[in-house]
Amino acid sequence: ADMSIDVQSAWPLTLPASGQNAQHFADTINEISGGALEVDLYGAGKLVPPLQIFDAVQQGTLDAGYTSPLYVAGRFPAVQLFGGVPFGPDAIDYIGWIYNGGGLEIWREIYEAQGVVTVPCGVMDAEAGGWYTFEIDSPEAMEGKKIRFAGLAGEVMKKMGASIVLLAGGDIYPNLERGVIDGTEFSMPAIDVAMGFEKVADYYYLPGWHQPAAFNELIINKRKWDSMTEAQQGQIEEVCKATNIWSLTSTAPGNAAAIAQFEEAGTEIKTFPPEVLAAFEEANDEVMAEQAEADETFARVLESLNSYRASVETWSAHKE
Amino acid sequence: MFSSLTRFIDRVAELTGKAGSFVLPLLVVTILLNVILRYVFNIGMIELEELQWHLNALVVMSCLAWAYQTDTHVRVDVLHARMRPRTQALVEVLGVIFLLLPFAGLVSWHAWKIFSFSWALKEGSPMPSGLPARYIIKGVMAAGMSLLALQGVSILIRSLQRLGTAWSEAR
Amino acid sequence: MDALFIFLFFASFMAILFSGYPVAFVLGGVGVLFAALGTLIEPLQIADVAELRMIGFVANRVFDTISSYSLIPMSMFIFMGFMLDRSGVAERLLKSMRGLLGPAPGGLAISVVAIGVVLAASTGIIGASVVLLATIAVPTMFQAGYNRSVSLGIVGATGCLGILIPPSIMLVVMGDQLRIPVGDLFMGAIVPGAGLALLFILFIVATAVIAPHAMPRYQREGGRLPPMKALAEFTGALFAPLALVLAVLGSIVAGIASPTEAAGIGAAGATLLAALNGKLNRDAFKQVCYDTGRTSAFLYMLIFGASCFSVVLRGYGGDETIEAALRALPLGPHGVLAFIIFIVFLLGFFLDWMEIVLIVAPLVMPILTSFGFDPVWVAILLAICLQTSFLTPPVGMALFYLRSSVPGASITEVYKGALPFVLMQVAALITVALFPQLALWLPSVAGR
Ligand code: NA
Ligand code: NA
Repeated sequence: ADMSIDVQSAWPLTLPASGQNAQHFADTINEISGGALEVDLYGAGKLVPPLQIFDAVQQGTLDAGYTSPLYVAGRFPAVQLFGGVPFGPDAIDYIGWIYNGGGLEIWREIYEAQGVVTVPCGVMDAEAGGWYTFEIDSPEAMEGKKIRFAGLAGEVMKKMGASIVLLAGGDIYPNLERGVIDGTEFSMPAIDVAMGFEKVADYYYLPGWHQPAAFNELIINKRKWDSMTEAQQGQIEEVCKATNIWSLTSTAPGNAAAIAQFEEAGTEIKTFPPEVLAAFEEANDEVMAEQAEADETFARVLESLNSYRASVETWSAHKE
Repeated sequence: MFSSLTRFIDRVAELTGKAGSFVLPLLVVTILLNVILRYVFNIGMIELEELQWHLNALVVMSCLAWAYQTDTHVRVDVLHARMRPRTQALVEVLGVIFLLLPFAGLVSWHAWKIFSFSWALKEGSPMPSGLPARYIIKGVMAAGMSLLALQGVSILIRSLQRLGTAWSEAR
Repeated sequence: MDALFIFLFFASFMAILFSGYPVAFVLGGVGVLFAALGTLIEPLQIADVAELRMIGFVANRVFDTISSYSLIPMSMFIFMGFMLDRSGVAERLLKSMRGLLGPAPGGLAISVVAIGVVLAASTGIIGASVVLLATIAVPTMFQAGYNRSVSLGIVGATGCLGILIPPSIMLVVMGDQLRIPVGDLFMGAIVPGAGLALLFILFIVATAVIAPHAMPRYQREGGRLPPMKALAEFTGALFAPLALVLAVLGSIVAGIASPTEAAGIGAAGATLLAALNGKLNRDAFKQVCYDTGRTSAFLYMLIFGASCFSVVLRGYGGDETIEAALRALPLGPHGVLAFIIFIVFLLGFFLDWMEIVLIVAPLVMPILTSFGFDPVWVAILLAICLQTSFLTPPVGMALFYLRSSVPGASITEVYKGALPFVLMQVAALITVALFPQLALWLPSVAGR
C-alpha cells in the first residue's frame, strides 16, 4: 500500500457497535481504497491499554486509535459533550450539530495543540437506562443506593442521593450479584446481553436519558495525518461517515432481540416515571452549569450545542 | 569520585524506598475508611477509591530501585549461586548494560514525555468528581523508573570495581 | 521466517534467564533488544518485526498497571502475610497442635499441614510461609526422627498451598490479566485447594502406616498433655487466625466486600492480631512495611518486564503465529486444553508462575474460551498446574526458600521429598479437569 496506518481499538473487535464499528471502518477502507490506504487494526489492549490510546497517538508511537472521547475527559473535560450528553440530542440532531453546526470544528480545535486529529466515526444509538435491583418509582428512590455510573451522568446520580462506585467492566456482575452495588448503567441492550446482568438484576430501565446518542472517534497523529494525501484523508472521513450509518442500523436488530431475551428471562422492562425524569433533568442542569463554570471550553462547547439544538428545536419537537 | 556517586545513588534509592513503604499503612487506613463510609454511613466516594490506587502506585514506584539495591528482584539462581564472585560481577555488568539500562532508560524517557504532556494539560481524573492532578502519578512513574536506571548505574560501577579488584588479584 | 524470530526471541530469553540476572530485567531487556533488532532488519522485509518505538507502549502499559484497581489486593495480601508471620500465630498453633496430635502416627506432619492450611487461607504469598514453616516445624520434625526428605517435602508442599488457597496473589494477577472477577477465582480455588490439603493428609497417614520409621511418634518433653487440656490450648490458638480468615474470605464469598476491601481489612486484622499477641513493636512494623514494599515492587517489576516482552512478541506476530499453531493441532478442544496444560507444566520447571501468568495465559485464554470452556475452570486448572511449578526443579521458589532456611539441606534432598507432592498435585489437576464442577460449583452458589 502507498500508506498504511496502525489503528488500535479501545474495544474488542467483536463487541457490537463500538468494536464492530472499528472493524467495519477498517474493512471498508481496505476494500475501497484500491491499495492507496491500508488500515492494520488491533483489538483492545493489544498494544496500548484503552485509556492510554490518546497518549500513544499524541506521542506518535501509535498512528491512530479508535476510542471514545469520554476516555480523555480528565485531559479535556469539554470533550465529554461529544461522547454523549445526558438529556442531549438524539443521533440525528447530534450528527447535525457535529457536521453542520460547528461541533466538529471545536472538537478538532481542542486536540489540535496536542498534535492529534479527530475524525468522528460511528455514532452510537441510545443506551439503556441501566440495571437495578430496586424499583425507581419516585425521585427519592436513588437515595442511599450504590450505583455504578460514569461521567456526567454519575454526577447527576450523586445529586439524586446515590453513592457512585468505580468498577471495571468485569467486576460489575459479581458486585451486582452480591449486592455491593444496587444498580449500574452499562451500554445498549445488544452489548448488555453479553454481560448476563439479567441473572442478577430484576429491573431494566429504558431508554437511557444519560446518553441518547454518543460519538466514538478515530484519533490520528497529526504528523501522520499531514503525511497523507487529500484523497486518503477524504477516504477516511467519508468511510467514517458511512460508519455512522452502519453503527446506527447494525445494532437495532440486536437491541430488539436482546430485550426479548431479557423479558423471557423474567426481567421487568420499565421506563422512568415522568417525575423521576424531571428530577434527573433538573439535577443534570445543575451539573452542566457547574462543569461550564469550572471549564471555559466546556462552556463554549455546551453553548454551541445548545444553540444548534435551539435552531432545530421546532422541527425536532414536531417529529416525536 | 565513583564511590561517592554510588553511595549517593544508593542512599537516595534507600530513602525513597523506605519512605514509599510507609505509604502502605496509609493505604490500609484509606481502604478501611472507604469501607466504613460505604457500609456504615452509605457514602461512596470516588476520590477515596482513586486515592487507593494512587497510594499503591506510590509504594510500588518508590520501591523499584531499592528492591534492586537489596537484591529482592527474583533471579534464577541455579547457576548464579554457584558462580564465583567475579563471574557474578560480570553478569551484573553485562546485565545492567544490555538489559536494565536499555529497558529502564527507554521506558523512563517515554514516561517523562507522557508526564510532560499530562502536566501541560493539567490532567485530572476522567471522572468529574475524581482526584485532580493525575500528572503527579505520571511523574511518580517516570521518577521511579529513572531511579531504577540510576540504581543500575550504581550497581554497574560497583560491579566494575569488583571486577577490577578481582583482575588485579588474579595477576 | 516469522516463526524463526519468535523461536529466537523465546530461546534468548530462556538462555539469558539462566545467567541469574533478575528475571524482570531479562524480560524487559530482551524485549528492548529484539525491538532494536526489528528496527534494524525492518527494511529487509523478511518478517513481521517489532520496532523500537513500540517501547513507548510499555510506558503506557506501566501506567495502566500501577493505576489498576484490581491489583491493589496484591500489596494488601502481601502486607497481611508478612504481618501474620510476625504475629506469632503460627508458632502458637504448632505448639498446641503438637500437644494434640504429636503422639499419633504422622501426627506432627498432619499438624504441619493443618497449620499450612490456616496460613494459606490468611496469606497470599508462599515465600514467607515456607520460610516460617521451615523455621518452626523442620527442627521439631528432625528431632522427632522424621526422615529428612519427607519433612522437607511436607513443609515445601504445604507452604505452597498458600498460592492456590485464597487469598492468593497469583489469582489476583490472573484475574487482572484474564479479566475474570477475582472473587470468582477465589471461590473456584477453595474446593481444589482444600482437596489438595486432604490428599496430603491421606498421603501422610498412609506413609505413617506403611513406613512408621519415616515418621516416628513425637514425644513431648515432660510427658503427654491431658487430651482436654491440649484441645483447649489448640482451640485458643486457632480462634484468632480463624476469625481473620472468616472475615477476609467470608466477606468476599458472602458478597459483603470487594477483594480490595477484604484485603485491606485483612491487613488491618493481621496488624491487630500481632498487636494482641504482643509482637507488634516499632521495628517489626517497620520491617513489615519494608518487606511488603520491596516484594510488591519486585512483583510489579515482573509485570512491567513481561509487558514489554509481550508487546514485542506481538510486534513479531507472535500472537497470531502461536494461535494458528495451536488451532492447527489435530487434537480437538479438549486435546488442545490438555496440550496447553502440559506445556504450562513443562514451562513450570524453568519459569515461575508470574512469567507464565503474564505471558502464556493471555496468549492461550482467548483460544480456550473460544472453544466454549468456562474461563474460571480453565484459570483454576492453570493455577493448580502453576502451583506445581514452585516445587519442580531446577527453578522452584519453594525449593530455594527451603534450602536457604534449613541449614544443611541439599537441593536433591528437598526435591526427593517434594516429588510425591508434585505427583499428588498432578492427580488433583487431572481430577479437576475431569470434574469441572469441583472448581465451578462454589462460584455458582456463593453470594446467592
Ligand atoms: Na492463600
Ligand atoms: Na519450577
